[in-house]
Amino acid sequence: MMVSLYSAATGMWAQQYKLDTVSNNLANVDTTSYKKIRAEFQDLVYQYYKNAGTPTAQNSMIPTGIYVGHGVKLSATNRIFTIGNLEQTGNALDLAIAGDGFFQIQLQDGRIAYTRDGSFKIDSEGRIVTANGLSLVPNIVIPADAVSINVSPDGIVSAEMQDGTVQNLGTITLVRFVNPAGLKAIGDNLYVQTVSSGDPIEGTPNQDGFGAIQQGFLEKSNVDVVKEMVDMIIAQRAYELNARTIQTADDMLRTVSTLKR
Amino acid sequence: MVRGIYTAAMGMLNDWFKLDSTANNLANVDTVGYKKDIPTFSAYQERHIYSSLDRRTPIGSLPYSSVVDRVYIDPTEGTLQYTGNFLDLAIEGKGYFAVQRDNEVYYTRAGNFKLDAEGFVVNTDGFRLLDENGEPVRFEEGYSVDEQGFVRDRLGNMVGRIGVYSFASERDLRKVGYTLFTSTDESGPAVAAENFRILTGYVELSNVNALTEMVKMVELQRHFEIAQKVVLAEDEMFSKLFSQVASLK
Repeated sequence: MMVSLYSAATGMWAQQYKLDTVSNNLANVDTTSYKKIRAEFQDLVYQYYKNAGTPTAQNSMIPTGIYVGHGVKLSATNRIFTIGNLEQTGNALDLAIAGDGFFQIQLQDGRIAYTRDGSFKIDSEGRIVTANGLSLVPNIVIPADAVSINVSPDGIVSAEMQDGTVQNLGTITLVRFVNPAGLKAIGDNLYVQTVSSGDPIEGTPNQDGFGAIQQGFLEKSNVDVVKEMVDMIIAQRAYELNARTIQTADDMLRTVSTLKR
Repeated sequence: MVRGIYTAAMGMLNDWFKLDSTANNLANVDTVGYKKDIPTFSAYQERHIYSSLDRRTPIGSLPYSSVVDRVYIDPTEGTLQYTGNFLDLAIEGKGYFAVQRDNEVYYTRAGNFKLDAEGFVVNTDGFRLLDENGEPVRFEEGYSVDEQGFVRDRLGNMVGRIGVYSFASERDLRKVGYTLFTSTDESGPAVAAENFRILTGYVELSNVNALTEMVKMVELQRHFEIAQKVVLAEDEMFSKLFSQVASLK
């Protein structure tokens, strides 16, 4: 008898969760290479009061049975790895991946994390590092007397020296995953591999399906503001609908309580 | 003598059942691939009541009552929403995807698929999507799905076809939760579907119409109040009957 109250409560909870993901997406609308999250729902279990095929008193059968569902649950928060717009910055160490792939970053504890955020800097020792000072793998050191740095679409990093010679400094490799949606976000635009992402597959940019490296560009967030606003409206309305169900159930219970005078 | 009060009370119970069903529909207003439930009620002019099913001793009849007859699925297609995700597949037209866990096959229109670590296409619960031969579908780098469900590799070579199945009577499918269905005797077995299109980058939204569900809810609530009034009126009549008739001397 109280099924509707609980179903509506699950609905309100689910929409609240949806709003949480929408607000995180909107908060990161301007975060370099941020990948939006989508909340997905599933209906819950069904309670069968009568199964299909139950005989009735009139020697007939109930064709499909009588059942009632118990609401909704969050089934997944799916990260959508579509590519964001590339924005030109003109900065030599801003690298964007035009296509599939992740940069590899060494964490302080030695593990490798993955990112599409290519806003690199040079630290005091000339190494290419992220905004947080974590170094790019493979490690590339820019000589102090380099005049300009050039990164080719297939990842070859070279520097023009003061004397006019060009020095090859190494190659940036990329990795990709069978299931990037299975990566675990650890914040700071970094991801680490999990059992469901599979192992990283390493390769050269602009080859074998890897994206080309675009020097002087940054990948913007793939959050679509209009879409998020629409999702926010839907979440709010769906929340209200479920609140309405609770109100109706409550009113009906009150009606019941006036049966006995 | 006291049957009217039972008839009204049964009406109230039916309204509660409707509310439970509506609540579930409204909770799933945003669930991909959800199909709404429609409870139907049937009126019995005379419904014989037996003391037990074995002996079949009639103890009377219950006139003018109504009972929940059945609940069926409304198979109407939900709105297709563009997501841009290459593993979101929506079926336009009649048909269901088949997913498998262990040896059990379920059918669903929730096409928000994922890849597992081994490259198999799975639903949110990790059930594997089946091809037209009932084998799990595996994706590799650069694979795509065309409108007829053919899976092609990066070079455009056909590597398989996603299975799309239909049923003689969709509304008789059995819901098992998690937006999955199984076939029943009444729905008929799964057969290869015809006249469908698979749209990549789309998901099918819930087919719950918030407006009609709200109207239904208002209607059932008012009906509930009316039935309650009937119970009260009957009660008042009994009260008069017992207090006034009995006091006659």
